[in-house]
Amino acid sequence: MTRLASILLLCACWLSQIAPASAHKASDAYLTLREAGVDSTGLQISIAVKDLDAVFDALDADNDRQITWGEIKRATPEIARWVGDGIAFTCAEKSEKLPWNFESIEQRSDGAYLRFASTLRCPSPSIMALDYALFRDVDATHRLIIAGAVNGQPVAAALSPNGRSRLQLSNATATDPSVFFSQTGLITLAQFFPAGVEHILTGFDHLAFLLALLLPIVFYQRNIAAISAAGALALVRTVTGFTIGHSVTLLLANLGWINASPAWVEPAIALTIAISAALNLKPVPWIRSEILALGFGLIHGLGFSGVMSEAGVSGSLLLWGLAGFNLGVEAGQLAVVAVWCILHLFLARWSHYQAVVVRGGSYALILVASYWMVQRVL
Amino acid sequence: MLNPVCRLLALTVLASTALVAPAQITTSRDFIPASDDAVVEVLTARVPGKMRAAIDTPEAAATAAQAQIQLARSTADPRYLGRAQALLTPWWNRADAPTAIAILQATIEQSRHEFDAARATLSAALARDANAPQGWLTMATLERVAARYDAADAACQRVGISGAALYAAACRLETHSLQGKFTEARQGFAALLRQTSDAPTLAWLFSLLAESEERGGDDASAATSYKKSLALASDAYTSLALADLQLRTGKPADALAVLQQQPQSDGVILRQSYAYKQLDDRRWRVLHEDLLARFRALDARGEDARLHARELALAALWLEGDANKASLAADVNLQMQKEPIDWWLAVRSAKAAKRDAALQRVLTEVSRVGLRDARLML
Repeated sequence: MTRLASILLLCACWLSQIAPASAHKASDAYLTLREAGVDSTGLQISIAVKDLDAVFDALDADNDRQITWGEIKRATPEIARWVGDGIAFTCAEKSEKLPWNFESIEQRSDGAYLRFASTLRCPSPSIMALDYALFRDVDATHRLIIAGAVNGQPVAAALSPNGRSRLQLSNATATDPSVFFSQTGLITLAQFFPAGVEHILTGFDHLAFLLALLLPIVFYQRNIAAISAAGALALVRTVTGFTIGHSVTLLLANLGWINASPAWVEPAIALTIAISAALNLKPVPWIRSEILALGFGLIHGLGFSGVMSEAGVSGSLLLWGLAGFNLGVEAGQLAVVAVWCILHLFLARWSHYQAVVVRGGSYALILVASYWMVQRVL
Repeated sequence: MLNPVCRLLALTVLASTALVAPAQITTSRDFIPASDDAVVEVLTARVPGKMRAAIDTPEAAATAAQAQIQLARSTADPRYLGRAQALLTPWWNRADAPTAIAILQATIEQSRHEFDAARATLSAALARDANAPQGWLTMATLERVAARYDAADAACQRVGISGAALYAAACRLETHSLQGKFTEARQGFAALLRQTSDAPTLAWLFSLLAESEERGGDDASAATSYKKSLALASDAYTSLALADLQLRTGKPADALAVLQQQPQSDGVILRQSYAYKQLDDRRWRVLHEDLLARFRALDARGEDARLHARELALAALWLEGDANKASLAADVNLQMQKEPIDWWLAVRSAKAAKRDAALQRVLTEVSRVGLRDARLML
């Protein structure tokens, strides 16, 4: 081993420094699961060209370190067979090899990937499993990142060919709680409720808008030292208007019926705050606050959109998730309104309420909203 | 050093980066090239001979693994560390592994910042066979990262006993310089630089000299030495060190020029973003987004968030203006590694966050371990 030791020492210099942490990530492949009709699941796997190069001599046939489209086309049949050999699917205790077809090249942040597709057919109800062995002997830190849904149930996992290499799936009931984090509609609803609460409580722009609407509504009459029914009714109507408005667009956007770009939605949300606050300073008689709340609520709902798709929820559970999220938003909103009502009961006794709280507060909101607008446009 | 509540908080902060957008791990774009000659992927480096080629002797495995480790370093791509590990599979974690192979295993572990594992592997190997200069050199590095300078010095001496005089001398000078003996280091490195004409070794010595000068407070000489090192051999570690000096001394344009030569590692992107931010160039946001996406991709792989706590803390301090998050992450990072930049980061962010107790704790610890660094005397 002395010869070996001397080989090593040639590079001693760079081995004695700690390389900067986690440069890119290590090697990952991505598997997406999609429902494709009754009892069948569409599979797509994306594998980095860089990784395939370590397995296939044929890929860089001319060894010029440039992998061309022609080289890839020639190699894909062999790669597809290799993928089939390396991923075993088990349906009701019967193991099978799937045929994979080359679909496309994908450009990802860390290079080009080849995508292959297949379909998994398995009559429900049955237990399915996926055993992953690609790159087992080639790369000890390779991972398969799995995302998608089977039978309306979201799946998210990371497999390692040398470690936890099996994913259990079921197209009937959940078996592995680490894979299925939701099982029934009510559980999904309960899961997304806190997300909704958090979203509204940390969504300062939505709260600012709500405040802009609530500031001018006086339901404690100082002169008669009593709650005014008309004021309280206006408050309820305004909050309800906002709720209906944002619920409608939240639903439509998450069902994929409308599609709004954050590029204009985010600045537009800031604009709604500024306009509402400006109307407090210079009221326009025919614009009623509940109508304003309803109309602008539509825009705010777009700001919540994408929540479900980001969380990977689809299919039959989507509506439950949406309901949970929306109920969370309303609960959070009611809590804020309640706090405001208590504050109002004290503040409204003050003779300068109009001048300081309503006008001053509105000016402050316009200022904040303008800042947000500029920040979001830039 | 860090109370449990604090540590829990810090880890929560780290974990929360994963929750920002759990589903969108990476984005991809499909494309089918127009012609067969279109280049789809350029392999920055390629190791001749395929991985699966029969590698049955320890010598062959070590040489192949060595090449992969070198690739990981030159491309800043950790997938090659996984390939190196795969090549060493027959001997990995085996008590009867040849010393040279065990040292390579420790090198791979050290490169992944698994310092405890690296230390255990190395201790066992050196107990079996003490005549291994590379092993002692790596051990010295691990001791320095743990801020145990006397132990590092002892390991450096073992490098000399094993017959690698120049490496032993440089190892000791670096250790002594960390303890504040800047004059000894400057004179010693100057003498060593006259002893060799090998470009990689010269580059390494210049980078050690530069770091020593920077710790001694002589930024101008340090910058010159870093540049001499890079002119001899381009290197990611040295480039980041020079960029840090330039960013610290208000020369973001120079830092960008240095970083441009390097592969887009997390550390490079982080510093490019900070440089653009200093220049008031909006590209910093794009790079910051990119960095966050990479953190999420690491989380999706199930990797330990602590392994990139340094980058997380630097991003919070430099880009997000979140000194509190920076300080908590810096504390977690300091549990893992104690290089000068890690102390600087902990001091700097604790100061910015006005966490006086934490700051005091870090400063007490600095003087206990005996590190001397002008950058800490802010």
